[in-house]
Amino acid sequence: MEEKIKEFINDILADNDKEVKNISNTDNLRDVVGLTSFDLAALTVMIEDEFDVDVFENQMVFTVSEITEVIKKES
Amino acid sequence: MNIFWKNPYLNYTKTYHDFLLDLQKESLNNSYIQEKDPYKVFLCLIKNALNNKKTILLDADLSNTELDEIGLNEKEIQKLAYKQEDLTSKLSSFKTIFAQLDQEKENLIIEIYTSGTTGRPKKIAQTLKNVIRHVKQTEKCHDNVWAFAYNPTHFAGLQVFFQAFFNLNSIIYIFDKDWKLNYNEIKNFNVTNLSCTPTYMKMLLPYVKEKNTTIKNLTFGGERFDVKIENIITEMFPKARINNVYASSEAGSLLSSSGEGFTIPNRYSNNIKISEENELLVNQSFLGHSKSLELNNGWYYTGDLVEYLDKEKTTFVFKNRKTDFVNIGGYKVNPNEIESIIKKIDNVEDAVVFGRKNSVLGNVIVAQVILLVEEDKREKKKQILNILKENLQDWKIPQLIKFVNNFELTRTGKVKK
Repeated sequence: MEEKIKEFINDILADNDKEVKNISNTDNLRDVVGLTSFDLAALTVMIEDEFDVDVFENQMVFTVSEITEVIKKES
Repeated sequence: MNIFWKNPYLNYTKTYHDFLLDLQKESLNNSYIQEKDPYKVFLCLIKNALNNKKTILLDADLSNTELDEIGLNEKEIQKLAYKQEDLTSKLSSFKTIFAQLDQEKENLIIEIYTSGTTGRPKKIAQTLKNVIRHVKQTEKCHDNVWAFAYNPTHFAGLQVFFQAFFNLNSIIYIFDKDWKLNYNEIKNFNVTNLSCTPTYMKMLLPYVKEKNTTIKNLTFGGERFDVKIENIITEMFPKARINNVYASSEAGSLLSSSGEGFTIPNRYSNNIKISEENELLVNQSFLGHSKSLELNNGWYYTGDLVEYLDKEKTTFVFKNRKTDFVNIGGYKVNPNEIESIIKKIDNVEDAVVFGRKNSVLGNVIVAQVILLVEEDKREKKKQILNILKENLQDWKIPQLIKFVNNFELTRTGKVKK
């Protein structure tokens, strides 16, 4: 699951001509990975299509680990 | 003198004294304002007003294609250039400047561009009087410190500017994407008033680590308030009075409320009403002037649909829009504008663009594209994105581009959006 989410993140980075990164599970997606609000919105939609969970709906999530926790809890 | 404007992104601070000197300087001005530095937007705006010239505000990031759409080019823009003489004696203090603006407020025109229904932005002209309709100048406002979190060329940005300016308040510019920096500046500058979209607040909240007790007024506008963040906001900003505003480029700021539900005040009962189809209507008397504004018996149909919260039909919430417009974090996007560009790209047979609900931005823009012949999807997506970026402002770029074989249709045969 983590790998799929990282793949989504890197797709978003590539679409925006940003450097594709080796993202760790604990990297802060805003500060370290550099996702903007538009990028986070795109990520939410991709995750929703894949796992049927809106990860940002009821909480603030900062890392890939936190996203996977929410998906496991809510799916 | 007080700090007037601080821009942590460009790393400078201007006092009101600096602003006064900049206003007095001889310069080559223009009614059209398209500036990257927001300080210059407001400097030029006040210069135009003091020279009795109208102002036409253009977003700094408008592409040539977008300027073409509204019939503008460098030559047209230069036609409205004029030379400002030295105004040192005429503009000796802000008191004289405010008096002059007040005297001329019914004649001074500010024009802004807003999303049009056909994809072509429409120009709305407002008098300064209309723009500052809700500006308060009271003793209580004197010590306010404002965080500026809107696009300076849009209506909400103008209102924050005039509210702060008419009270000689300090303003810190934080309408940019470094959220950590934005919140640090709010904290270090002891900001008391923040007006922003709910989406802006959602992006800021992760950086509010401790309770903030300096903010006393939080105003949200531009999109529907997200009640899910209300609890965390009241917890993290315990001293803040929360206000939600309903405003539009066509009519300015119209309604305000402390929660999600709005009520039309009695004094506005002849100016604002709800139609039988639950659409909010605004009377001509409250509107700016635009050739493209269609009126029905003197009423403008906003396209905003409401739902009543009570049987007496006095309190309502905004539900969705009747038109195709999609509200992305406070920006109204017209999908037709995006669709028409994608359809012109090589090997694109058809495309449909629409909004989809999203917990981060309220909505996201999704583009579904049908290709004539198969090709590398990643490369094609990149090409589409590049073309869109060349032609459109950032916030109009779809967050999701999907290649499909057929559009999904509704039972009535319309493309499902």
